Amino acid sequence: MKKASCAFILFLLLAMTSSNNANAFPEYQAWSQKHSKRTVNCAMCHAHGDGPEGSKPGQMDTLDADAQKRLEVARGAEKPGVHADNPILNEFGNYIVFKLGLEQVYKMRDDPSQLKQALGEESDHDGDGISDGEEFEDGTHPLNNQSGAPWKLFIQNLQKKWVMVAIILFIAITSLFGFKHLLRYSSKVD
Amino acid sequence: MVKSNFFKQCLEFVSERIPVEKISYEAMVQKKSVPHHKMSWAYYLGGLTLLFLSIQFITGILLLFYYQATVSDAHSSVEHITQYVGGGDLIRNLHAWSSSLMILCLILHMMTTFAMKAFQRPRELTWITGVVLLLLTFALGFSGYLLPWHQIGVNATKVGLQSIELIGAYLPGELALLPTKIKEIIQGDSMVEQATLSRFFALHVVVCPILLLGILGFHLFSIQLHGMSEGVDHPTGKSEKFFPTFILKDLRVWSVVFCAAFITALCIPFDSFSPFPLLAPYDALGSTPPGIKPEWYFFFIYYPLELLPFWLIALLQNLLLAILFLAPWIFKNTSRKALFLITLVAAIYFFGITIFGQDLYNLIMGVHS
Repeated sequence: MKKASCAFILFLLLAMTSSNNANAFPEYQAWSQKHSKRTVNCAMCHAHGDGPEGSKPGQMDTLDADAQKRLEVARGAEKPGVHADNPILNEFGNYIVFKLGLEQVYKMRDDPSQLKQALGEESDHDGDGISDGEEFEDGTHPLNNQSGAPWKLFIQNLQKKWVMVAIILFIAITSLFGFKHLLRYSSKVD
Repeated sequence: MVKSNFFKQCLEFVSERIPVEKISYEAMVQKKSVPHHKMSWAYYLGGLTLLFLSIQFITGILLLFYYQATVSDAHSSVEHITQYVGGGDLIRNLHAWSSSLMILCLILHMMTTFAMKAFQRPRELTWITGVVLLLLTFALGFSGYLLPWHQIGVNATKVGLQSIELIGAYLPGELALLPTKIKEIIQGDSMVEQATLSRFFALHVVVCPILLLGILGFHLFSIQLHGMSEGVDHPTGKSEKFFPTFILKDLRVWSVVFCAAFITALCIPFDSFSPFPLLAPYDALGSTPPGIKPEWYFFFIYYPLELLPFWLIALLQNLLLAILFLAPWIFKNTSRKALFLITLVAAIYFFGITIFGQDLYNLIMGVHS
């Protein structure tokens, strides 16, 4: 009888701790890192770079009552389309849950390469011109417009800032023209 | 008698290196010429270094208007500059890109100067001030790396400062404590904290630039006094006037290079080459992300440090420094051909380890594990 009650208490404790578990999906991080050969950490989707477990800002142990409530609501977002403001996730993490739903996120753990296609081309949270899905593949941050594959950023920024590029090219060409004529003039004077 | 001879020799040495009688508009501007030969392109490298230094000064002053040198605000102020200040990302990227390009030009300038034997009598002081300028530029790079107070900057600074302390283990007696003292003076605290940031900020924006400007002034003055070195064994006899011909050609190169640097800074954020976890604000309690490295121009010493015993690298580093300072006397009778070969080997090592250092490291560590 004593053994049975101990086992029941242990079961309850396990159930309680598992309900407080952060349900992180490190498979996505591992895949992104392997695919991009860049260092990637939990900050890609989570509020804290070390992930959801812990007692630092943006982690489980620091959540106040309101944040706990939001976390509970977010955990119920099984299907897509739920605006869950999960306090342990960042904007990109919350968008993944909104777009796919937790059920789909859970299923895709076995093949995170599907995430890019599932998110589509239209979402670009940092506005750097590289879609969030592509940034996930490249191992760069979807919420930081200074983080991106350098060549892709070059192409995107060249298209966006072509006026400035054209102005500086014009200045350089006219300077070259001017210096060429000054050189000619100085050689004539000599 | 011996004393007066010594002073006489000293005076002769200085007067030959700083020939004040040549200070005239005619000698320094009107009659100054630049030799024309197959290595003439190397004469533009010093000017390019100066161009990037000027960009550094202008962009650095602009960044000062917004940057906050406190542990709590440094990272957010840099983020504010990049994300919210109009043109802030361009200025910051231009500062970062031009610092790297300046060091690249400086290293190439030094290599070509060495290969052309432009350090020989009476240009020894010009060479020595050049070596000091290189070290000051490295100091600027090292101190500037900490200022954004991000993971990579703070952790790389910690590693750099720790390596100073390690030298103590190889010094005898009381001297063994000296490196730790030096480290503490630079650090200003028991660990890399606010005092370190304040000191590095002061070094980066006041101390190093003032020293650099002073020494650069002497370096340029000395070049003007002695004129350009011939640089080759068999001069062609052709030359062009320094003013206005060479200056105008120099300005032509400057406009092309500035245009390229501007477009690069506009379109490619310098931070895009670093993994994003390394650019997060430094968190003393959080885990250190992998991949902490110094800037690329320290790779020539960083990878050997990772692979070889510290004492060996410290020894080689000091030997290299001594060779650099004493080059005009060590290589006094060395032919330009031999100097060219030495430079080639040094260049292959420097650029090889900078580009392939990580692959080499992985290969060697992979073999060992």
